[in-house]
Amino acid sequence: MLILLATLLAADPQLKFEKYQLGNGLTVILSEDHRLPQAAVDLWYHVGAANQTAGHSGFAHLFEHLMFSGSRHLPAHFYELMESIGASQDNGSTSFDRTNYFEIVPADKLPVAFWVESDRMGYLLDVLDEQKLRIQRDVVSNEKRQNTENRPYGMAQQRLCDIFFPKPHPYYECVIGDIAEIQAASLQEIRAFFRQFYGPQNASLAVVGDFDPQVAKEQIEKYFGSIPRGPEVKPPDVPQTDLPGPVKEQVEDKLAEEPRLILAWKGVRRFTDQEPAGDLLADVLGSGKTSRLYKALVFERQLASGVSASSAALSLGGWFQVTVTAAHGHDIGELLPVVQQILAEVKAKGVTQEEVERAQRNVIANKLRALERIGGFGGRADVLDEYQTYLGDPGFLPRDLARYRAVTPQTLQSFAAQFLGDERRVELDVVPAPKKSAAAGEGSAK
Amino acid sequence: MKLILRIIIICAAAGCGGSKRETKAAAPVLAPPQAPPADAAQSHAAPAPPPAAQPPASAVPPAQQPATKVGQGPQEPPETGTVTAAQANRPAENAVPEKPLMPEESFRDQQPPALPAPPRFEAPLPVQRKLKSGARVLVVENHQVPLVAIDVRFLHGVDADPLDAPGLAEFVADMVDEGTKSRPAAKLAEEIEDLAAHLSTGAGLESSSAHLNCLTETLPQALALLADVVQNPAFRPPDVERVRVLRLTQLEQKKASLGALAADEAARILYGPVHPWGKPSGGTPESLAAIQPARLAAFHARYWVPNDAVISISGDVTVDVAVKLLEKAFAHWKPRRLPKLRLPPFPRLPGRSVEALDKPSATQSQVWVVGRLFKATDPDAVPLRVANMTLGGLFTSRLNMNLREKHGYTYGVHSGLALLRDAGTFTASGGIIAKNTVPAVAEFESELQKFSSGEVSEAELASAKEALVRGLPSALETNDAVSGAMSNVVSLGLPLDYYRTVVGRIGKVSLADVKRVASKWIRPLAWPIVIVGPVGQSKQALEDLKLGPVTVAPAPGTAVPAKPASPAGGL
Repeated sequence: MLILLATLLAADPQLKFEKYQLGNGLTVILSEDHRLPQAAVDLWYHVGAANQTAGHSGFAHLFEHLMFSGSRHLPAHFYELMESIGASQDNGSTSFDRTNYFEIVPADKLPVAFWVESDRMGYLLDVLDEQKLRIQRDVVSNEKRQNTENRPYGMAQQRLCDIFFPKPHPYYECVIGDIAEIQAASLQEIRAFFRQFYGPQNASLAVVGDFDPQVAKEQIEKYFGSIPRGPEVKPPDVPQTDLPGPVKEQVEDKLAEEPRLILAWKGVRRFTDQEPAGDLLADVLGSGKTSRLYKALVFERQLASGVSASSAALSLGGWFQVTVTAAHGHDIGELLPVVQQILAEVKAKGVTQEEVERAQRNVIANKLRALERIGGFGGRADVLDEYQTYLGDPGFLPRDLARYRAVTPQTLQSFAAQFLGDERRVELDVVPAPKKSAAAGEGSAK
Repeated sequence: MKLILRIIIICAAAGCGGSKRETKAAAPVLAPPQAPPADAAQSHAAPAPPPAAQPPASAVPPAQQPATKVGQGPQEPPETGTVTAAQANRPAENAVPEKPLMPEESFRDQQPPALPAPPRFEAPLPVQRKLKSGARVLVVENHQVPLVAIDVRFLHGVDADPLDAPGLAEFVADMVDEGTKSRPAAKLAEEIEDLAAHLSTGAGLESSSAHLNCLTETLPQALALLADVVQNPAFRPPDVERVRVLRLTQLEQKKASLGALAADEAARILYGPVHPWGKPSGGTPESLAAIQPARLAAFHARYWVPNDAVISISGDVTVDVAVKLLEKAFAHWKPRRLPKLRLPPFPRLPGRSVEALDKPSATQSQVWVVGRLFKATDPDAVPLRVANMTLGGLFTSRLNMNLREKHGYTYGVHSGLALLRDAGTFTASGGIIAKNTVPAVAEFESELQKFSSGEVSEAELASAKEALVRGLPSALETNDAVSGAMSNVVSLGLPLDYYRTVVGRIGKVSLADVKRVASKWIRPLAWPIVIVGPVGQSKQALEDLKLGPVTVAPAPGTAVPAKPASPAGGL
């Protein structure tokens, strides 16, 4: 089965791409697909939370917002422009290690996408002012409230990040940042950030879809070619420290309806040898109805309504996380011993060959599914850009899959034994906060 | 990886394309956003606007003050920098101009012209076949990636729920993949996951479905599993009990979702207490507790029948092979006589009124204006979809430009049509920052009233049509989307060439058409307004808007004070 998949993948015409560099260092990746009359344009900048310094949490993301506030030749209302040309999935996102800007445009409007992205790359500062910054500081602060503080279990997830990456590590406060620090961002700092990190040599542009490569190349040269190279960006290298000992905290959550147990451990970095083992172990533990946690907690004992496990592998560090949400009427005290027992078994006896193979097949199938879409979150353009940004090779997919195929039950067992120890474990007990009662005197029963 | 995606990526838009839920949550059947309404699995909430109606919330802020529209559009000749009214009082720091980074290049002054060849999109036209069992089969070949999606759709769902058992159709759909007569639940799950297939099941207002996505080479094995799930679910008592607990937990969690509460309240008003669509989505704790395995099995035996089914396939398989494999997998499927549903008529709407549910802990409110429309095949459907794009189908539509861009009340508001086989609803809705709830309601009303005159500009009409047409290819990109869309077309009673021909029909919509359908169907003066949020103190202010009677009641799941509430005045 795995061999069969490997063959198919090699034969997949959609992985064909052409890569080259402009004189200013911008990496361009072109991949044709004429199925739909559309093209995805996806510009990755190799800058994220990792490039922030202490006191500037949330900076990379705040900056991403400013990229939508207009540049010299573009209107301030970015989304009106995009809508007017029939673009879809136009968006941007910031993560720990990179920031991207992308849109899918009708094939005949491809030059407009280049015009837009090159203008943001070249002419943002010409029109950036205090007013725009002030507005975006507030929008981002509000986004934190909405997505973290006002989302069930959001605060616990944020807390986890701060435990593993305490200040002054650039990952502290995750990507979204601390509201006070966001509010303190100055225009000078923002300008310096742009000049430092938004040069063409620190970016890669993927174009996937229905285009004539000759025309695309001419247009790309026209719009991006004259943008000057920026200063060299030194890759950040701040190590992740070990936790001094176990951590156990209770988090009261106003929005959660059921208790949730989160266990987490320091993990591995992106594209390291141990990364596939972490992903596959997470799969064996928490993905699908056959996973060990689901079977024991949701299926057999019915103590939980949902489980998940994940290995976050980032450029400067990572963590492995197990999450179990209690079923109605159950609590964390019932969940914890079962989770502990499952982890102990994996460490002592390992996992089966079947479990590893199933996890491998699912990882491979999911990578294929991502290729169905030319763009948008996680689509083909993102796949090409991701490999280019971190490895300098957009065509790394087959080798990436080979890394996953090489994993054995023994690799998983040693990963569990090495990383999931009790002595440096983080336990977060998320419990619903007591409910306030409704104000009296207002209701009229219907 | 599911959780991770949500943690480490922060998007400019409201959602990163929807973060995956935990393992248990079945993925909803994908349906095209802008075209026929998605009677998708799990979308019991009828009046919910179609997904694409969600404006791409963005980095563009809810303006703190009436926004000066900077530049009227890409064609506007650029000045030296875009100027905002607010720049007048910018701080000194900004007054020192920086050296420009870039050379002057005049070609950047204008939006580039389109490339010579305008894109032509031929929506896929399915090949239609019929199985011996009577099931309709639709196939769209797509050999791009070695994957296949199969959507089995039955044309009854929540509409077949008995009055005393709301939530039954959804419970059944949730149970079919929890063990079959020959495969215990755990074994079934293992076999599916061994194939790296994705199986999801669900029930909507008027349909039920099982949806499979698998690799081409495992299609025969995956189809065998799908056929087993569709025909032979076992409803073993221990499995039923287990899923019952999960569904009760979901009902608990629903209480934290303002949108879900608003949808339930809107459904209650639109469809009334004696119609299955008027019940809360997922049922009630009482109804779920009372549903026994035999009742689940009886519902399945009655409604999951081949003579009421369409099987839509999109992917890397030829028509002949697909049909051959289906005949083999479903060899023993037998048609059964289908009872005719006798549904009660919809109730009279209460007329213009405000139904508010108080949720003191919330920092936002959901405001929904809801009304009834027509069925999906109505000739007014396409013109009204076009018209709606100007009101609330786009980021730049009137509702969003007013409530978000002008007033800063919200992160995004929208309006949409949800059309079904025999009914339809209209919803204008959005999440509103709590303190702006009452003024936002007033703005909703004023925009709706203005819109009901049907006066739309030439430019608005053009961009509405353009957006609808341009959105089609994306909505039909993946095999999951295409197979779901084909099933939708059948479920809604639309012709199989709907997607092929709709572009032409959109193009023909005139200003006169828009005026006619908007003034005929958009009736804010007769439509109720639903609010869920911290509105305990807002009754008087809402009454002062003079939008009819105002009712304020505690939202479900809100702790009710021990003492009975004092009698409410004003009704």
